Amino acid sequence: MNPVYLRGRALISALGASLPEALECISAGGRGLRRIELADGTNWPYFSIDHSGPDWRIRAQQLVCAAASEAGLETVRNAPLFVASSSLDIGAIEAGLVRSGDSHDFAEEIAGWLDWTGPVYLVSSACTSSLQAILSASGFINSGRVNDAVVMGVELANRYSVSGFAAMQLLTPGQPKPMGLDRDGIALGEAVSVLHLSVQPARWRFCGGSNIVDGRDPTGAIPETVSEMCARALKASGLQASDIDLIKLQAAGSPVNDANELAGLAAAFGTLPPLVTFKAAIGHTLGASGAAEIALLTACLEANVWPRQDYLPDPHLCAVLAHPEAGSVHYVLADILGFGGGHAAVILEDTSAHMRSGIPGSARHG
Amino acid sequence: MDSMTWKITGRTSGGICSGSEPPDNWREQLAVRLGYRPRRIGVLAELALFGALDCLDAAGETTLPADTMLQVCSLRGSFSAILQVLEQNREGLPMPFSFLQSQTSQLLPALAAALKWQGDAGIVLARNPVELAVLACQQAGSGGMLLGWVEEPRPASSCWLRLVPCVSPTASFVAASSLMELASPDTHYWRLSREGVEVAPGPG
Repeated sequence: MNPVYLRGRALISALGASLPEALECISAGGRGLRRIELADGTNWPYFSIDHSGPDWRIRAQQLVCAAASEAGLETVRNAPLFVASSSLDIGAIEAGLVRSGDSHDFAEEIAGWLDWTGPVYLVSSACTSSLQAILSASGFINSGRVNDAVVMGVELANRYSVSGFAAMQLLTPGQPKPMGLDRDGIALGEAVSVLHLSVQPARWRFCGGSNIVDGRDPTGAIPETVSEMCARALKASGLQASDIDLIKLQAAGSPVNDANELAGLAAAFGTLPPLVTFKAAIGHTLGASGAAEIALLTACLEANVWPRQDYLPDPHLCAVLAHPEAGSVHYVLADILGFGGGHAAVILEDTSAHMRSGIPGSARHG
Repeated sequence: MDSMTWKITGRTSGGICSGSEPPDNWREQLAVRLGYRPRRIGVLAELALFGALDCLDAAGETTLPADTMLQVCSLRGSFSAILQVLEQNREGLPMPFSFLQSQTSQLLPALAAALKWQGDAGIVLARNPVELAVLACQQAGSGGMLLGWVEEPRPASSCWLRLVPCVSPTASFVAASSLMELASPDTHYWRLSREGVEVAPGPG
């Protein structure tokens, strides 16, 4: 089975127009929330990208091309491209730019902007879309079918998602506080994120992962399924729970979902490793969130820069968000839970860690 | 058993995989099959349930093994529900169930709940059905796969195939180039090849 490495990455988010800008912004204390107003007169916090364009589609094209350039995709345009998105181009439809065809047109439009010649897939499984795309792309590389594959998470401004989440009473009126004492909901955000997966060695290796849909709750996480997701991801990666040095949480600030996630993780891990979350910094970027948060996670680990947590943690969750020391993390599990009963996780290895620790090879098991 | 060869053990009946629309009374048939009338899941999810359960009935299965992969393609998705939500948005907040129904991925928990199953499932789109078949074959576990192509009216469609790993038959395989070939009643086997997916007829 061929290994899968993270060869290139990019992120455009509320934190800035690139990953270096995002790290700079985090170091400076993060960026203030903006708000988006709905037709009923209410307005909601929103992590928007600071970029204006003449219309929705041209803005989307500019952001997609900028992210592709940051990730250095010029030489892999014949690779499979997995576009991961929940809201697709609904923002354009809202703006009166009518969709002429079907949902896949949006992925093909993105491919056209990038002069892509490889096969184009659209993964639209709500919040877990990006992680599912990573698992699919990894499968292609694992099998030797291709040497490269690209995952692009795209979630751009629209009122459809905000109003829907508002109608379901899932949004916070203020600041999202993942795992916080008085957390009262999530805030949505925009992101364009790129992960270039390759058989070519690089610092980060995708070890494996899992994806489970559980129909018992179509809108949230179930603790036992979170545990099962971890067990399957560890098995696929040839690892044990004790190997995981860090967990990148879904945690978005939901009173119930954050607690369910922690309960499931506690059952899977016993003593929890350090935990991090990015949704207080970039919001919940829905279908793009898996790729966006992995891009940011790996960049933060390399730079030892972490978002500030300026709210009290919930002591009932018995979990403290951490700022891991540079070099202390060998294996990290990143999960995304969400709408559609989705529970997905991937495990990454910092292949430079064994050189620091003296552990031979790139995996401790298998 | 060859991990790259699959046998089709079930498919949606009534020529739906050959381009026919579901029968006019498909909703009534679904309610009879389920023993209840599905509520508030939306027409796309109902169509998915209709086709998937019919396919599994043909396969003689009431649920799926844990390591089965469930992959659904819907090029138009829940577009009628999305338009409804956008209309509601012009006046105020949408109805919560309207918003949920506008999420194409909501058909996945509806299917999982109906099958009392949990596992690897996703909404994946590709213009070329063979590319989707390649992706599914690449990822399918020992439980095989349940693949669906579902579109809401008009024209409605809900074509499903159940495939399980099998020993490679002594049959002539030819490259498939369309959903019609992948799902044809004459097609009994799939084999993953370097170029794509090849299909073969059954014995005799």
